[in-house]
Amino acid sequence: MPLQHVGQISAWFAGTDIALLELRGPGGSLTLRQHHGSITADLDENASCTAMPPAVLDVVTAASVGVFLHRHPLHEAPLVRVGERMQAGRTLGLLRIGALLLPVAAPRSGIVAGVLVAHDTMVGFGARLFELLPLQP
Amino acid sequence: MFHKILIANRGEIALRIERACREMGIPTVAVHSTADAEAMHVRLADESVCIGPPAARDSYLNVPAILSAAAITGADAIHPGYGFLSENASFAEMVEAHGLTFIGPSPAHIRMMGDKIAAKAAMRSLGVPLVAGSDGELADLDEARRVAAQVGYPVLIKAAAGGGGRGMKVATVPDELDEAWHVARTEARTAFGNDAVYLEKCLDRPRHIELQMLADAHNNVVHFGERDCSLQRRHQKLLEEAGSPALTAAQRDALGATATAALSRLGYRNVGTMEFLYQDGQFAFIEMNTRLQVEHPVTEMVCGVDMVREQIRIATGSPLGYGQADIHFSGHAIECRINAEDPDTFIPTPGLVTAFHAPGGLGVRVDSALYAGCVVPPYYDSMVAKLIVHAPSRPEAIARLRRSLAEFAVVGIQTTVPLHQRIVDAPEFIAGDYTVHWLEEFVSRH
Repeated sequence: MPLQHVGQISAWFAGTDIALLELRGPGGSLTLRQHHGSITADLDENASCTAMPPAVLDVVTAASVGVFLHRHPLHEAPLVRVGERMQAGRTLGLLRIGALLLPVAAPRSGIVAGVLVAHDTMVGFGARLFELLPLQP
Repeated sequence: MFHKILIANRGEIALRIERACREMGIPTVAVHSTADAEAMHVRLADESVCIGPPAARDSYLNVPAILSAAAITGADAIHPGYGFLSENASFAEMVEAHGLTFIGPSPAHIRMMGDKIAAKAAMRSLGVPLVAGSDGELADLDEARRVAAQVGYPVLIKAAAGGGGRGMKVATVPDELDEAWHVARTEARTAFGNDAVYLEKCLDRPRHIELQMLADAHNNVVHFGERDCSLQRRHQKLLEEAGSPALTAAQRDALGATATAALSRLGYRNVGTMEFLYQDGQFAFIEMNTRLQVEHPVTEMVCGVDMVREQIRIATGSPLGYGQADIHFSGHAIECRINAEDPDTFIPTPGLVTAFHAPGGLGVRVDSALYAGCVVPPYYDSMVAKLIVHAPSRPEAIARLRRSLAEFAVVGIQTTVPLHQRIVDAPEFIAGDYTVHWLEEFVSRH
């Protein structure tokens, strides 16, 4: 199983209340465990890696007052989707103040594990906007 | 009328403004720091927005965050309360530049009165009596020596941009003038970024008397009588009365007539407080505060007028609708500022309030944002409540105050209630025989 798939499945898994997930297939098996927000992953011996180190979700918060936008006002598509891999600095969302649009940037590279605020919602300083599963170096 | 008012403040004054807005049918927006997320002013507002971390410079003094909060909530007016940005002329200008209404005086008047030298020059030209001293900024130490010799020692060297006692030094004899000059200038430069200073004769036993003024945009000006704020410690007021036990109605009327004429000629708008020193039957202007005062409730109690409501009405352009002859004074009111401080050492005592009981009954008012379970944060001013009593006479008001202080219960943190209990039992206070120096001496004796 490619590592990026493990990361994506881990990100989806992080958004659930499930404690244990086992996936078995012709290419091997993957076991994910979730405990107090920390995720561990084990791949079988035939896979390209043996385990993921424990992962803690990063929470991206609002650095300013604003109206949170999940997509640009002129576009239909969201700026990011859950499970999408992000490079550090990539714009995840926007904060609108009047005519001004402030970017909400990914603080580090990772996989989007959750969008915590609905599009077009007023938020204050420190509001939790995104969860990111950091990519291991 | 306004569609929605953002209150750029916290604590009891934010709550006080919310109450006036609620009675006027105007929705409110509370702004708060992360430390105040559970504060009562946030809980009781129609909407709230977190504008920054605990430090005031990052939240309640954060102009872009406050203007952003107004923009995203659709507020069309901002009430600054007192402290924080309330006397910041640049903030008032920015509010207006964003198409919002600043509920307060014009930026020009805020700026003029913020510069104590400019304020005194304006009042001199309007015929308001001043304390003897320099005509304006002192050019050098030689001029300070010359003026001090003319007016007589002791003298005060005061910062043009000063307030709260900062940048202010006393010289009781000529030998002390050199040091007072240098220390005051250094403090002024550090605190205000402006080392301009001026000199005033230091009165030995003055009372602090202030007049509550109100003016509309149509040049109608009235006053709501005086407050006696002589009970101060380190230039911070602790107890205020309306009216003053030292003034007669005739003196109040005469001072009020002078003050209203001056503000009318100045074209002043909204609330303001003209502060005077009073000694030997003479008044001397010291400064004007271009905002709502902490102690405004004692005026409300004796006049029966909601000052915040009047501020909001005037800010919409409405005329006063009444004149000086319509303002009547009834009874006597006293306010105690209850601080979260050790009553003996005055060290701040922030922390968890485990239980809270406010006194009540006829003529008793408590303006506070405290509640059982709230946390008094360490980041802001230590005042946590104002106890205001009103009665037909001063002796009755003192009796009511004594009774109310005994009922006041704040559990979990220390407050200055015990200090106020000692003050109301002091013979000098009961007799109304005190000056601005009395409380310092009283505290040092006890």
